[in-house]
Amino acid sequence: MDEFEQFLSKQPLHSIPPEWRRELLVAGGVPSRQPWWREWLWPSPVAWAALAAVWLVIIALNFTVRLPAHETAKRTSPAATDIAVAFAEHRRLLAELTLPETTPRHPQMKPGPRSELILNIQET
Amino acid sequence: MAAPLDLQRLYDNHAQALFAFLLNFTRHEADTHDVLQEVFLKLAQRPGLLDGVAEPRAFLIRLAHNQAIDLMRRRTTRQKSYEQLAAESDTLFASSGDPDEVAFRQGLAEVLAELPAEQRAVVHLKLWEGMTFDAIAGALEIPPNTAASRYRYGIDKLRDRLRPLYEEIKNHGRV
Repeated sequence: MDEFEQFLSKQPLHSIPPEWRRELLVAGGVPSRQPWWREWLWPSPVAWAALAAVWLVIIALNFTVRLPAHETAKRTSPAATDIAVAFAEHRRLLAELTLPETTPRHPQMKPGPRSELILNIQET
Repeated sequence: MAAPLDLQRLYDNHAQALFAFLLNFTRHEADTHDVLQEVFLKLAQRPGLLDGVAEPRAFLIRLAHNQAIDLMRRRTTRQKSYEQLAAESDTLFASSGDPDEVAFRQGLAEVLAELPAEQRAVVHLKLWEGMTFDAIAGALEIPPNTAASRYRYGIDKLRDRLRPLYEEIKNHGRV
């Protein structure tokens, strides 16, 4: 075969419809009672198996990645509380700085009226 | 009665090839289905049919070819001839995302449809089944020289008609 014929022979032909298998075999007298998994997986059992394998790999990877993630989360928890404390301190300082100057920081205690009672007792 | 497993094995091993051959020969999916059904029914009814057969594929192609010719003869009274039906077929080749490939396959299907059915059968068996002219002659029950000449006529027509599309794909480095 020359180059042109080889090129023609490489043109992929249309695939037989998958549902024909069951129809034709039943017509040929083959009972349709097949294992459920065989009918379920047909017509591409290899493709389904490959897909299942990919999922297993993904799940396995997920488990192996998840454990260190928990540990990392535990390790980062104190840091998170540190950040929270620092943030609270920052807010407190900011609040102090932004308070109006006229506002007394602490309410001043006014002295009450002097009592003469003690002096009177001492004199007597 | 043949064991069910044998029929399933036959289907798994040969149904795709028979389907492609019949679809190219009849150019009609429903007829392809009917012929395939008759083939498997015959195999089921006569389980000894393949006894002593060295090349089951060639034998099954011969069986399918004969069934297809019977079907074509039965339908000669229909309004549309098989050559007209041939022009309607567009599902002979797998689809593609490449526009050049789509155009080439469409052109190839059209030119194949223009070939006489018996030329088409030989071209199909040679190109897509990789059979020798002796094997084709056995399957189609014709002399090997006839198989060779039918192939030569068919491939020459395909070459003439598809040359522009082929050259374009070749220039794009896809050959």
